[in-house]
Amino acid sequence: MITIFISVIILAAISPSIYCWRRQLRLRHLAEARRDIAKSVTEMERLMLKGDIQLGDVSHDFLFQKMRAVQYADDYEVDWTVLKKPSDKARDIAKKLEHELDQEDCPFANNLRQFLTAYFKAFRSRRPFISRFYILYMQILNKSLKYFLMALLLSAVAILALGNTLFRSKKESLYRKASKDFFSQSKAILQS
Amino acid sequence: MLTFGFLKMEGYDEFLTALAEHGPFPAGTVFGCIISAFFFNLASKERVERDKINLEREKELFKQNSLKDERIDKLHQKLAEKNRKDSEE
Repeated sequence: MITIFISVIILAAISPSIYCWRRQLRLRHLAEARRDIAKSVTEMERLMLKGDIQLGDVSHDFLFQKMRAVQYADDYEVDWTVLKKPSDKARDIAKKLEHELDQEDCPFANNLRQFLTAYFKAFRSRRPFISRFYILYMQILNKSLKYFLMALLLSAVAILALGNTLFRSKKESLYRKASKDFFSQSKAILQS
Repeated sequence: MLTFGFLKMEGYDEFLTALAEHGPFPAGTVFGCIISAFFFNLASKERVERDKINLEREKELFKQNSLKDERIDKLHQKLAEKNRKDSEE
């Protein structure tokens, strides 16, 4: 009863602090993502100055505009309508972008990767719960849900193993003690 | 006295006995305060980190602006050369 009382008081005392810490952590992740987005846009600017990206390219006309719009955005959204048929315009843009990315020494491939990871990180930190559902949804679509289930199973096994090692039974601890004594005695005999 | 290798915590036993004398409520409050102070410290560190990252982002934005200005200057130079050639012809 006393231990429950103490633990309830402790939990009541520390829960606001834990909430505050988690919130600050989330905001830091968001700030990191926004910085990475700004970095990728700067790199695109540099490529444009060098002349690697030119007017008429999809990377210039479409991608850069989108990236710059994202840079000044406060909210981040993802596309849930993956199963919906895309419009002809969107398909055309995607085809052109794929063609540019398939070329050797594509100047903005790494940049785009950095931008997309940062964008998803921003989405995750902005909407932590919805992002979990989105990941599950994408896993179902990719037929890779089995990996998630495997990870769940493995983590359950790991928790059980950890519990077994941390909270050993009395019998086992006695056995450990006996084995320790045995080893120490044998060591002493060997040294003598 | 409690010892962890090199670390010697003096007055630890006295502290625990003093807490135990007053019962579970003060003990729980004191431990709760210690743990919450730890997490509030962590939160303040995160906040400092966030401020630093925001400053970096601001620098990136200034860099972007300077690059853009450079690009516009280049374009203006080209346009001026073209206009000069046209006027000469």
